[in-house]
Amino acid sequence: MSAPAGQIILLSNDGVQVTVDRLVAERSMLIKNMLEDLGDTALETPVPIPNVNESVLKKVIEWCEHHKNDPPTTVDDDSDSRKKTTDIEEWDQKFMQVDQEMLFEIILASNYLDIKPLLDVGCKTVANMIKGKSPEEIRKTFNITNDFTPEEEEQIRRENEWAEDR
Amino acid sequence: MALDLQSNWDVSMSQPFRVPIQSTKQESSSSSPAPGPYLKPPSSEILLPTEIISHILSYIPQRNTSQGTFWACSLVSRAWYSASIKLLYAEPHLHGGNFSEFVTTVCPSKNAHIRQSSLAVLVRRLDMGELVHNSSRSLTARLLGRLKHNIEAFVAPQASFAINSFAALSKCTRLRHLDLSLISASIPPKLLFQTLLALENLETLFFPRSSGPQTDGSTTSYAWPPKLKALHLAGWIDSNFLRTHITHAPKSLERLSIQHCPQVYAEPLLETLSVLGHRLRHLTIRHPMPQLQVGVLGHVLLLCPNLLALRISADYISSSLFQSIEAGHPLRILDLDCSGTATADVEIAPGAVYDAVEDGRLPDLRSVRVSARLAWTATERLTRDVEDLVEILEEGEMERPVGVPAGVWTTYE
Repeated sequence: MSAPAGQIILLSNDGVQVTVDRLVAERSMLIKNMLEDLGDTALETPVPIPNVNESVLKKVIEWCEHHKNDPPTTVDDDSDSRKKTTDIEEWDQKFMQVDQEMLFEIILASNYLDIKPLLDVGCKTVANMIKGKSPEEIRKTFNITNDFTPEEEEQIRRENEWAEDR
Repeated sequence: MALDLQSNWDVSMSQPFRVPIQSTKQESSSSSPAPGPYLKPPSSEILLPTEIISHILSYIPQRNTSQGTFWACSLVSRAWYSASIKLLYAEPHLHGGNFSEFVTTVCPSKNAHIRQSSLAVLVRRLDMGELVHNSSRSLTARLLGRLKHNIEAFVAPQASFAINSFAALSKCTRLRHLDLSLISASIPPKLLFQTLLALENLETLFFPRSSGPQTDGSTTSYAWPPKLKALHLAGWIDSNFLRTHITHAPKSLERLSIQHCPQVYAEPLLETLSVLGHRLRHLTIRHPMPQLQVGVLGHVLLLCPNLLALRISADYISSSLFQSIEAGHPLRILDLDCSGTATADVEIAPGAVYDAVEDGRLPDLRSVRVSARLAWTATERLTRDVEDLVEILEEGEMERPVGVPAGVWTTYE
């Protein structure tokens, strides 16, 4: 089946088809570049997004929908001189009020789909959440397994003791 | 049975435990979003690749207060260690309480353990400015020796830096920023410049503030670091030094500051500015400069026709500063300081600045910061003059934006 005019069908990795405006989908550089390479033939069949499940894909599309008219990001955004601010606009703050699992899924999906502004918002959200936390609190907050051996952990503690807040 | 009880306890603990962690978020005062109350316990671990963790950590600024966060991240997991360890060591915040532990890690002994030296190479900025008597001269030299291939910035400690540290310093060839302003020992200029010869990448240099030798006596100029952009003079600089050496500063120089110079007289200073003035974009001349009389620097904007920012003690200028300017001077930022010993004849009125903007002598002026000692709000008339000045500065920025916040601010020293 082919998508209605100006739309594209995405296929999540759990087999769900999601129809979305082409303009919205093109917030993803991956999809934008694919459409430029393949032309309109890409619109004729659903485009598989192998790394992203339906709920995450819909969440990402929700973001793209809201930001579809944003000006494109400039290439030199990544330079060192870039002002690293953790300010997040209000809509994005609300958007990112999700459980930790979804937050990481959004980050991974935006990385895979190459949606730089969404990746940035996700990473800023995590950065704001880790400030001032202990290692154990960070692990608990983000469900991270401590994969150090006790000896490694002891060595890192000893070497970095100078930097511990006391 | 005991085992079951134990596992039940673990399970029941793990659920409610998430709540206090979320509700004690320390960043609740910042603009970060609080996670929703519907936060559910995660079912499976989602591994982020190290480059994404690095991207997350790039949003945590290199500030003293971030050190604890980088430390915590290094202990979370292997991937988080890889992403955070460079940031933890790049610009360590050293003080009396942690210096000896830091030294133990980056240079434990002469035959350094491989892993430990791998941490030393991560240090980019060595700031010993907060140390008083925590280091020793030999330890400072040893630390510089261990970090010499990597550091790009060094702030020397007040004590425990002396002549024998210069050999180690001259090997830090990647240095771009060198701050010797805190050093209390006197440093012979010849030795200082011999060291600078090796520092070809140096862009910013702060001279020692110590009084040091009364005269240098040299008659030909020392070689300056070829890429020097910013030079901050203090201490023993005298007339001969200004005339012989500072006037030969490299073409790249665009920022100059002079303060705490008890032996600098007006005449050689003006001669120096007449040589260097054209290339300067930023100039600071601040008290204490006891040999400068009231008003002697009144023509500084004529001498420096390309200046964007000027910070000057009102002690050394008069309202004539704002009259003797050629039309269309590019100055954007003006900071007027004032020493505590300034006499009553030190007076700059807001009206003088206003006239210079209004008449097109300073069309790009946007930001004026003024010492509270100049009493710009002492009378109603002055207050009105300041309001007029604010208005014309804001109008200028609206009509021809230069990207500088427009307004007048009072500073308190």
